[in-house]
Amino acid sequence: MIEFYPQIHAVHVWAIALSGMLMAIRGLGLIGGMHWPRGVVAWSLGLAIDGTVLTAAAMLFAILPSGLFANHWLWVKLIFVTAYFATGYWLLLVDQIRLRQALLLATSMGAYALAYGVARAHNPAGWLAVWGI
Amino acid sequence: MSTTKRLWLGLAAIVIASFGVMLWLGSDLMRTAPPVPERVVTQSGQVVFTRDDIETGQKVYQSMGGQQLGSIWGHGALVAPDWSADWLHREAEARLDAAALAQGAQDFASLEPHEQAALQARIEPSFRENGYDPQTGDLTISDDRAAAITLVSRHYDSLFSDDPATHELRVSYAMKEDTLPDSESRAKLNAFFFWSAWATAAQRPGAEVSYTNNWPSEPLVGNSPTPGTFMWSMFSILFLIAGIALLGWHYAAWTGKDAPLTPPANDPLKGIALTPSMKASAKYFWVVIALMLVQIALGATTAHYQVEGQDLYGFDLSQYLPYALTRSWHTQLAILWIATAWLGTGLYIAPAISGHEPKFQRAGVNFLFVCLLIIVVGAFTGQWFAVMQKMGLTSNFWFGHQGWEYVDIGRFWQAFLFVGLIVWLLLVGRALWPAIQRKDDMSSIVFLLFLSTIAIGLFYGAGLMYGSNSHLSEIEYWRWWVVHLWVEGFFEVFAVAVISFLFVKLGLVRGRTATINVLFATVVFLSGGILGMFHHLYFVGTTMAGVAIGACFSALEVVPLALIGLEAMETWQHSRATPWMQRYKWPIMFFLAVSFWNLVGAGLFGFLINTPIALYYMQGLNLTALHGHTALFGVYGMLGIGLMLFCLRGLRDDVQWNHGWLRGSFWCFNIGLALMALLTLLPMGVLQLQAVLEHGYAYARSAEFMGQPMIHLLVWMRMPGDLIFAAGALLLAAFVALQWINPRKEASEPATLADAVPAE
Repeated sequence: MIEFYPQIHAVHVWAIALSGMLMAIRGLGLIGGMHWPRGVVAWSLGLAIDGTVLTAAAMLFAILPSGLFANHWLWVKLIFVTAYFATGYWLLLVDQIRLRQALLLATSMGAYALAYGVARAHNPAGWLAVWGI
Repeated sequence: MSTTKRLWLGLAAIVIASFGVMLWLGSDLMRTAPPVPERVVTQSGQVVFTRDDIETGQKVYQSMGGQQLGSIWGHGALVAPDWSADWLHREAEARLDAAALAQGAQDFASLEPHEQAALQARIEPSFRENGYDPQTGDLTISDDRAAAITLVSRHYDSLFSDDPATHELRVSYAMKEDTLPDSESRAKLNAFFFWSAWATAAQRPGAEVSYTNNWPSEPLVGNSPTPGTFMWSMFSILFLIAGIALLGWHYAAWTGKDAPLTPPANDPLKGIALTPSMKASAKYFWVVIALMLVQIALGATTAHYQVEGQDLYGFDLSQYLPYALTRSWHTQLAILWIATAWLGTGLYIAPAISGHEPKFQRAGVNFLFVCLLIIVVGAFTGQWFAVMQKMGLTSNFWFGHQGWEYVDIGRFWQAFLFVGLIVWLLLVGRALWPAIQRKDDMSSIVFLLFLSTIAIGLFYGAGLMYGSNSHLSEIEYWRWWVVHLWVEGFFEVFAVAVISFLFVKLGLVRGRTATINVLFATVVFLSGGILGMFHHLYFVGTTMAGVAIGACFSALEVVPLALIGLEAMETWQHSRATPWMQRYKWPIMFFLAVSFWNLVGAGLFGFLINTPIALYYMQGLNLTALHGHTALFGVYGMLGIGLMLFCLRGLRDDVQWNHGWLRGSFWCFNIGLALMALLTLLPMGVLQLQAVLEHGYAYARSAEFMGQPMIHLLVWMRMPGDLIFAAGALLLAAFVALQWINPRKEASEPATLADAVPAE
């Protein structure tokens, strides 16, 4: 499977980018009082993209050496990714007041940004490491 | 004579005639199955194996998980090789290499094509000649063959141990290290593998086909499809076309004669009075959900072993839960949760049908529930001890792992389950009895429902017909009595009868119409369903008579599925007949899914591998798993869920349903199953089929083929579908849990099911 590493990695990166974009657009749409973010098309697209993210992540997890856990960056990233999905899907699934919707979206996008920083730096410090702070 | 009576007579005639032929073919199979020799001796008089070695080897094979780790004669698991095909191929290669070496070449592969062909032609007769003497019981082989056997035995001895030389192969085959720690057990296993391979190439006395009708395809020893395999495949298709034509004629002649029925103004089942035993059946459905979730988790683990071999994301899981065990539990749990859903439905619906609660019925329902829990825990614990080789061979047969797919729990647990099923049918029977005695429009359909429960209970007993020393062909014969006759026969009858009965009670179908339809459907199902069992036995020692009967009658199994769209449309129309049917929307949607997967999973993917020539190449490939998953879950799993929801509707009658959870669950199950089939099982099966056609069967099941990156990628492609599928199960679990944890009440109108009479 290691033969397919570049392709799987690329799929993972592009899928997570699409996932974040779609989550942000759907979240803003919901806050704006629109109905389409909970429509069949948006759900199907979202589930397909998130399914791809998870599949590619699990494949990378299985084929890469266990050194991936060397400095625990992956654990930290997994915590942020879990927070991103949990708050994002909570926003999309459960009816709530607009302020709480905005807070959930902000938390979800914040967790997404932090996960991205950790993944980019391959370091639990994330953006702090990227910026050399 | 009334139509109902004529149909009953027709049904009786078909059942008697079919079982007569079944028993005759069974006795023929046992008489003509490949003999187990007293001794395997070389021409120079050296004893290679004894009968005891072969029979003990079969028990060793069973103890390590049997058909849950690789397969024999194409029956079993798909990641490790088919051991009979693998042995045959390795033995042929060893002999060809030895012959090439004798000619001064490095090995067989280094020879020119014409030299290879000449060598092949030289060794082929020694594989095909029988060598068995019925007078002495000796199987005589050449000294060259004995030398090849020694080489292959050495390979297997290494493979089933923890020899580092074969570690990579064990990873490819998803075998744990030290599968068989005892070297003597490994030696006996070799004897069994040799015998199973010998039977695939050795020609029957006086015939030019092997005991397994030349299965597997192996060019090195001249194993190719027999003329009969081609011929009966043609006839199989003819039977299918004729069957569809007859059924089409029946529909044209009989359907649409009745004036439409006006459904009642209110739901006749709403507010049904629950008896104590009906209430007690609720716990069966909680267990259904728990078993389903565990089964899905084990399925994901089993599939994952195909890419990591021994690990789960780097953790060496095989030391604690090896592949043979996760697959055993996965397949057993599939049967168990579906069966539990049906058992619960039977127990819930029987007093509801008759309006009669027999004495101590609730105690019986609770007693059976405790017995089922003991069986599941006891049988699974026994299998763990067996596969981990912590049990002797005798204890293994009784309490461990019998090794035969779908009926692989220890004999004690198997007998216990049989007793449990008898208790179930007694409980259902005594509750149904007043309804059977009523002699009204419904009595035939109720009686048929009762007959199907008797058949489901009693036919599990066929799995007790063989013993620990029985011949492999005999075991396969009785094993398929259980597996095939359940799914293609009595499950179908039960399903049709129970769904029709529910529609009658809802006032959507007339009792007489339903009775005739159900009886006719039963006649059609059992015409093909009983004798169709022989399509599982094409290559396990049966003669061409078995192939012919299996090919023609199993084609008839597909006939009712060709017109299933009509049934689905009728079901859909019932769901929209009246506004209160919204209460039953999701049970009916799951019944519709049953029709869809019956057509796709059982009909299309089933017929894909059904004819003798198709199965000759496809047996034991992922195309059989494709049929298995889409038919077992798609039809019986969906039906189990539909029935469970129907019972829950009554059990939690005053609770408002959250349709969103069920909608999500329904679509996740269907989309997940479709993705699993289309992204992984179908393409992988097609690639394997191509490999069989080009290189022979052993290659398509080899580590070389299955270890290709493309195959691993296809296995990974299961993940999106599996995730969606698992989400469906979680949504269903949450829905069922919320029925008790956080129910939202809705208004109710009291009534009793026994009094619910359709408005004519």
